[in-house]
Amino acid sequence: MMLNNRLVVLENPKSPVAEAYRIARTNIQFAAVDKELKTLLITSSGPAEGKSTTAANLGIAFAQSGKSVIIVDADLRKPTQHKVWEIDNIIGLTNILLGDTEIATALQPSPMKNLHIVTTGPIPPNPAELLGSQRMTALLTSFREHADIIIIDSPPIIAVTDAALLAPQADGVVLVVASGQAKIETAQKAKQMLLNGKAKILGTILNMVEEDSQDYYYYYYYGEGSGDKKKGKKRGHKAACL
Amino acid sequence: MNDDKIESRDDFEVIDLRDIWRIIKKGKWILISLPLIAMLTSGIISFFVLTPRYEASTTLMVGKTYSGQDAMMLQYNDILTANQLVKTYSQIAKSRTVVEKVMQSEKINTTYEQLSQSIDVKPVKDTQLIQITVEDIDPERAARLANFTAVVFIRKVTEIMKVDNVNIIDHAVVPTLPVKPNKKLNIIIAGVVGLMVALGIVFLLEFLDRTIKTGDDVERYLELPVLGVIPKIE
Repeated sequence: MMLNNRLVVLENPKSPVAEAYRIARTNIQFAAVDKELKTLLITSSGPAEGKSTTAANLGIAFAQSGKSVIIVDADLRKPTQHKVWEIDNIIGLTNILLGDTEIATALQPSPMKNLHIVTTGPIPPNPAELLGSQRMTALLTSFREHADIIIIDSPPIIAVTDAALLAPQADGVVLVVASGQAKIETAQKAKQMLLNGKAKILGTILNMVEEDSQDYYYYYYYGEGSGDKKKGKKRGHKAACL
Repeated sequence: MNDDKIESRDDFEVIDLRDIWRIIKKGKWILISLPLIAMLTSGIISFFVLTPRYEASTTLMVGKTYSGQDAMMLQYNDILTANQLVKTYSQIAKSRTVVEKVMQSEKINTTYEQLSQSIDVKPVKDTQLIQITVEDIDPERAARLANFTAVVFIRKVTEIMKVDNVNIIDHAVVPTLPVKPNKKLNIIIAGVVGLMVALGIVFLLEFLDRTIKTGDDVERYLELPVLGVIPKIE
């Protein structure tokens, strides 16, 4: 697996992709103006839609804006963050939940000094119970003291109940939708599940968009700030009045 | 965006030129490969599988033979009559008796139906001419059959009509080039049909594809804002 190029915002900050993540970060901040956004849950309807990459790059984008960030890998069934960051996964979230480890010990450094990662730790047999526990709620509260923003990478919402359990506890939920991959019905079901759990959905991140798509061009020009407003006037309006 | 607009968008699948272009671009491999495969298959069949068929024709003229003084008496009526005769004669040429006679003399192992299908007799429009065309896998036999049909036919006409007013103008010559299969035409047809089928498949796949692709789709089906659009990372 080619993992190194997944941290685009860090390694290639001037690329259009990095710019796209920064736009997403800004829009997320605007989407949550009425409430302080400290915990942000990233999920998707199905697997492999790019949750972990999105979580990591959004984390970098937030860190670049000067915020202190913790990325928590809450996908206890298929841990990914340690692979994305190429760090080990010996201690992490499960250790803190079981009371073996202090939060500070579980925070692993990243190439950015204001960004830390909490990997999953050993995979437990009962992820849903752990994530739905009172301890988890308490843990999320104490994480708030350690950083400005906590990004939670979670399993796909349709497959397992984990994300649905965590979502209501987050200040905002971002649904990652892989273009050409996420089924309309599945995504609608995911949205409904989140709403049923009283989660606050900030919006979606449309991922893996083909380069020749009109959406891509719009954001490209928007991001470059080239002043080519004609290209995406209609869509620009939509994005501006989120 | 108001409710009316959302409703109308659900009722009608809006598709614009850019969408069509995107669909075509996405399906470009089907659009290229399918016609190519069809053309190749058609080419192989045309060149190696289908037996080439040859065509030979002979032209006959119906009408009295005028000579000397008679030629002056050539009347319009005669020509009209001849025109009528041509049609009648064509039918005689196609008759079972003629075809069977040809069959016997040539000793070809075939049925009357088969042979009569490969013999085509038609009057040349607005003339006193009849053209007998024979199609066969053997060019020489095509010419021989055409000529022989003409001879049998003339004999038959003389016998029935008691007049000797059919003459051969052109004898059939042995054709050098086959008329079938028309390789170029076959390949072109295969290409065109292949392209149309490919277009059908590409658009069908697109409409069967129930996935979210664009920001518009997200807003239409999920009614959620799009916070970011991340291009595919290769």
